[in-house]
Amino acid sequence: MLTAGHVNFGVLFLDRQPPTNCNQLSAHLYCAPMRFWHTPDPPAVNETNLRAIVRPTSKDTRPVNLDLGTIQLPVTAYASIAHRVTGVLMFFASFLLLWALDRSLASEASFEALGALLSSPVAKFLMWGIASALTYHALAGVKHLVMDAGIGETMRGGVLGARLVFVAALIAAISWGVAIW
Amino acid sequence: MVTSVTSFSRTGLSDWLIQRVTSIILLAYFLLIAYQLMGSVDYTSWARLFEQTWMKVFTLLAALSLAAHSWIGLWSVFTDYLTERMLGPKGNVIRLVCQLGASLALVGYVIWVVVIVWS
Repeated sequence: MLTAGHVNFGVLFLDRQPPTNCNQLSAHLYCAPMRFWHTPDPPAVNETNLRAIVRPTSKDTRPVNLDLGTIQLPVTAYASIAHRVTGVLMFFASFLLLWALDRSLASEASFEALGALLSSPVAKFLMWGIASALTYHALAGVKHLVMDAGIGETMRGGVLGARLVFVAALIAAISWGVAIW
Repeated sequence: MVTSVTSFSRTGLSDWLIQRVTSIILLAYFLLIAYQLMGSVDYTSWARLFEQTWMKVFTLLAALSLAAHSWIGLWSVFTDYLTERMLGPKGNVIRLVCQLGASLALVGYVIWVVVIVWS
């Protein structure tokens, strides 16, 4: 259950929930001091009232699922999506890499022919793209291994890790560009 | 869970471990290749590197790792997006066709590596 922007301090300091009926005298003694800081919980976000939050103008009260197109994703989500996209790209790029390996080892003549082909602008751009995608995928993979070790598993740590991966991948992409051109 | 019938090792737990072990093998292999390609590389030294037995074994190991790693990764992507919920009634058929195509391609990759390095 999600509660928006509110920390319920009551559950941190009390081992039981405050009584809901504060009208009785005994309960009043318990409840009254709490009212200084124990504000009532905001309504929980659930399937029924989600539509009212996501699309406030709609009169429809039927349950809705979270629509990813309408909510702002955290940087960790973009890091995960990019990891998937680069992974799928590497599946297709593997064909080109295997072809290049084949040509480079078939004979000295094919090795030289491959070298000449790879100096064309289109081939250089492809090489840069594959190298950058692979570097991002590898860095995001290392982040996974680091998190598997229990480091940076919090939301704050996840955001920091995703940002570090994006920055490192950007630097790597620029470096590949400098090395290739 | 019906979809696990097409996963690589049939259980998520061993898929998880295989994905990580293969990732380390692939990372080591690509770092080695990147190190070799830095600076000028000529045919003689490149061919001599791939003539050594340890390099042939390492290349085959990387190819097998690529196949397993891609299978697990693509399976995760396929079962998330190529579904009846995302694509309508044809979703399951599209997913199984893609899964079959990817699996055949990966088997082809491994055979190709064997032909390149061991023949």
